Amino acid sequence: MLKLIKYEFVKIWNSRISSVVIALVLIISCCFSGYQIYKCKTGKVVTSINRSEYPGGIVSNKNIDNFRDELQEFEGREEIYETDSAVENFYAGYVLKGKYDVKEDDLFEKAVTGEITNEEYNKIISGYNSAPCIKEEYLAEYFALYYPITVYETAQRDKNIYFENSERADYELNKRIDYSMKAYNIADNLEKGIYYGYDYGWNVAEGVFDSVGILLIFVIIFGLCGVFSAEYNSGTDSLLMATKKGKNKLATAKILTGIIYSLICTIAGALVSYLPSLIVLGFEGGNVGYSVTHFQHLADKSVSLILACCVISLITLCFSAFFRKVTSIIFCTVLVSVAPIGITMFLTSANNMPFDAGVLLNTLPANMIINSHQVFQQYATIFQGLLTIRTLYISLVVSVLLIILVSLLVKVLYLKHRIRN
Amino acid sequence: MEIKYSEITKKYGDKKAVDGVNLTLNNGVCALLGANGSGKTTLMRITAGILDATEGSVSLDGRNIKALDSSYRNILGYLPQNFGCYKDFKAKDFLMYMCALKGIDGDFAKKRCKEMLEEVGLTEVQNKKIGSFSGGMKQRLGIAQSLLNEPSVLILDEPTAGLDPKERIRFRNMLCALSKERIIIYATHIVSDITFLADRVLIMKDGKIVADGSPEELIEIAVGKVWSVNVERSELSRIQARYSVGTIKDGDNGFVNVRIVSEGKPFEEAVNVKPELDDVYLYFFGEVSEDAEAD
Repeated sequence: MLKLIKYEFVKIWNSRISSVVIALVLIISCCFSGYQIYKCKTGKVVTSINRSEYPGGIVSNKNIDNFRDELQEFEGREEIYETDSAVENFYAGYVLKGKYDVKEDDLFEKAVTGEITNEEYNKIISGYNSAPCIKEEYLAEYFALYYPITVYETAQRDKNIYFENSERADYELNKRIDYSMKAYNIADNLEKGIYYGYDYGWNVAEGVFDSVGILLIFVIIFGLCGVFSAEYNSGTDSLLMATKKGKNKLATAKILTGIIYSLICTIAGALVSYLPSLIVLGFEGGNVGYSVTHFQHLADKSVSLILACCVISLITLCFSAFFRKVTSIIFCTVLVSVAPIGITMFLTSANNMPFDAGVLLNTLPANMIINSHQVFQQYATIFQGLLTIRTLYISLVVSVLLIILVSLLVKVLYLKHRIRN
Repeated sequence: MEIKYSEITKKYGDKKAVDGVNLTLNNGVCALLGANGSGKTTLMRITAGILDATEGSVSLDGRNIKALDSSYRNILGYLPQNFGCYKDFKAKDFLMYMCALKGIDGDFAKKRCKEMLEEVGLTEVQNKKIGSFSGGMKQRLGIAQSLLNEPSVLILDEPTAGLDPKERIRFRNMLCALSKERIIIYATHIVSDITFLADRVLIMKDGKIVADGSPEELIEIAVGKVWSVNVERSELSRIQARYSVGTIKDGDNGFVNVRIVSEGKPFEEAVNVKPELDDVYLYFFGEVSEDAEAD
């Protein structure tokens, strides 16, 4: 079996179409990853922390007041500021630390509410790179106090929004339960403590990985479209099917090749997404996150992605075993794999998406890839409210069932196909 | 060893490609002779287990080949007509892949590949990609793969297509050496190939076996029905339209010598001659065989 799988891989690598797509996706991923890293390194990303590595820690209901007191005391020290104007800016709540950061959300809100004029807003935004504020040597200390408060407040705000939503009478029951579960989780984390810290490498990597996930769909479809159809078209099928292992075992080998190929693609995608960011921006911060940590995100996303890719690869094999024309295989697989994304987008944009339908659509392979954040944190209520589970688990069950069913279908289609040559 | 066909019928829509074939094959070379579309390839595919008969069954030593499944394919060697190769594979890798498919492992696989490459004269190009091979080289590679597992049942569909005369002779000799201990089913529409090889010849027409016997027995069918006559060249087209005409040889003074297959004497001056297998083919198909044309 291993030998058969090895030769299937040789055939895939020999295929020009798959080599071209793999090379293209690799180039696009590297460019995307490189651009995100470049943006971080050059400070062109607007966020609450920017290139400042600071010691991490745990923030919770129990110690948040200590952080607030310490921050207040720290902000009262004049020597931490570079200029007087910086102090002014800081107290006006516009700029926190000049070229290292801009409190842009706050600033934007002030512009919207009319507290500052648009001209002032633009002046601050355009000049923030050159407007000094907190001295560089105090940044790590500053963020060690500032960031846990930000994390805590963001979590508190989200928790409150979720609780409010869970009480809304105009929402469906399942949707309210979903919000209530999310609020409960955050409340639990706030009680137990949330790890905060510098996590730029992980943050950037996650963004890249989400985009690379979509590209993986195409690597899989183009890589596997010829697994069966190329045999039919070249006339090798008659040769293969008259051999001892050329029927059931070969079909199994091809299916396993598809699954292993998905696995390799996912691992390669993860490496291409994570390694450059982590190497350049730092490995620390994997355990940061108030809803799910980066480690959890990677684990959830990887499992979800592997299963989704397996399903898409088997759908590709299914069409490859059924059609001879590569264009038909690619068209049908893209249609079946990507259609749920289109349907989801259409229903969402039309504001016409029933909550349960959204949950169901999110558990389909392509949506598992692109809606991973949502999938991880979404809950579904089944058996008329008896059981509430994360949609991720539904996705896993749906994927495993699809893998089994589609594998059987692939075998049947291959064994029953009509030899022409 | 015995292969038995019981009422084998294969239909494509309303058309019967194979029509109620009943047959028993034993060790030796059995040649399947017939025009294109006569049902040879369909019968071969059914025998190879890659096509299901609409009706009837094929059994090996009393057991249905479908039930035998992989154990039947384990003793099978099959060279399909117009088979495909992986053009990016090297010849040696292709044979190693076929070994893996046939369940031949390790050093024995390497040994068999080496032997087969020598046998078909491809040792020197074993590390070249199949895409660079000529049609004849690909055919030889196909023959090599069919023999890798030392099959007890060898099915060869048009094996000499694309081979030059020297390769053809080499192939015939190879088959002769192999034929004693196995069943070789050999489909062709090239009569001269089987004259030297076949222990038994089956002639297929419209999906049915219309003649079955040794080459000598089949030749007997045509005794008294083959005629040689000198006619004027201008008469040739009229004669060809009326009779099954075999060999045509140029003569003197605008005359040509024509070999005609006919139940009765076609011309007063026609002389009865000793039939050959080509004449038997003409007798059944009423057309000039490709070999006759070539000759």
